[in-house]
Amino acid sequence: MDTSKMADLVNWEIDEQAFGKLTEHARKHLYPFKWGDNQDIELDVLGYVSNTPGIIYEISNVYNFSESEMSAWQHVFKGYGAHEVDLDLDTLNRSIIITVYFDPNNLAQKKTSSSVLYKIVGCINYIPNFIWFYGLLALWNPQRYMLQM
Amino acid sequence: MESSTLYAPNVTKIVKKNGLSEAIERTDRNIINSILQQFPSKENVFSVNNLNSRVVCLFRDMQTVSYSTLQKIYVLSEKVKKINIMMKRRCVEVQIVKDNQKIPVKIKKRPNIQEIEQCANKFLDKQNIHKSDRRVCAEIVKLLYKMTWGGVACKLTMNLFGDTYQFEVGSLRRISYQQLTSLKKISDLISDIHVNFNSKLLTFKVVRCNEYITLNEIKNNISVKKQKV
Repeated sequence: MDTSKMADLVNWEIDEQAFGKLTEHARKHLYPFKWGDNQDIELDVLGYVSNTPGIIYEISNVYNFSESEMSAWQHVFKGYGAHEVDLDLDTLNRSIIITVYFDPNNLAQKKTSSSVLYKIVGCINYIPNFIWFYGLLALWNPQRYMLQM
Repeated sequence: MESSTLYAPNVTKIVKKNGLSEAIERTDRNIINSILQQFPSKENVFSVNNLNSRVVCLFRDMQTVSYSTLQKIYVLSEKVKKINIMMKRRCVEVQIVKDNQKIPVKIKKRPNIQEIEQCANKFLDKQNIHKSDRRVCAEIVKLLYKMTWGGVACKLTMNLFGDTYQFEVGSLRRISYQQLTSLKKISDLISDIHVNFNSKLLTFKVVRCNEYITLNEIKNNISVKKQKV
């Protein structure tokens, strides 16, 4: 059923283009989370928040919930300029509901220089744990664990 | 050359258990069996989860469900406390409370009524509605705002076909029986409340106020004529 022609019951003006860009930004950051049991995760837009500027996403097919990934998602949206990010776990539907709120007084702020810094530093969140562990072992005993070219 | 043939291993007998588990009390089992009769379609998948405080029945792979069916389920027993419709999972959840269970008190934050009224009026100004129907439509839109306040905004269309408005509400994730009852209670003008899981829409009809008044006049005239005869 095509619901695109239906009117949203919200009490604020929706900037569809801006939220479209936010959704693209979120989809680009989905790939690093697709591993292990969560390799089939998908991101869908559920809709806009009714009473304040914001948008709600659902990440479905989540079989493994971890706190580090939840906080990584918060960084993804806050780096883009979100005022607040709420995450809810729906274990019945195996999904994460992400509600992204934007400050109604500061809607123009979409990307800042801090978000660029986030892109450089934030990739640290996506490095798997075994690489950190291997790095520590290599520091402790480089002769044994360093790869010899 | 001899050909070797492989024989499939014997398939284990599939044992079908008829009836519900004996871990569920007889009264609850009777209620569940009565609920099952409301969904005679064999395509529905039915599951029961026996928890400490309640029994949760799930009817999956639903196509459509009407308010009248949910009402029949609700009035079966006072132990039926919650009936929820979950759009994405295409299922209806019925919760049967067990004996001697205290229902926890829920304190809900009430939304700002003035703000909701403003939003409803703003929405209706953009729609082509007759003046005489504005009040009932405003009540419906206000209720939809209250249902979704703070959550995912629903999508609404109102189309007028003859003397009846056809409402279609989309983007709803979960609808409870209590919410549908509140909708029904707004006015007698509201009828034919249905949830379609295929299109993920809540639909209902609203008769135009003038038409309702005219129909009542006709009914009254007919009854007066019968009395005279």
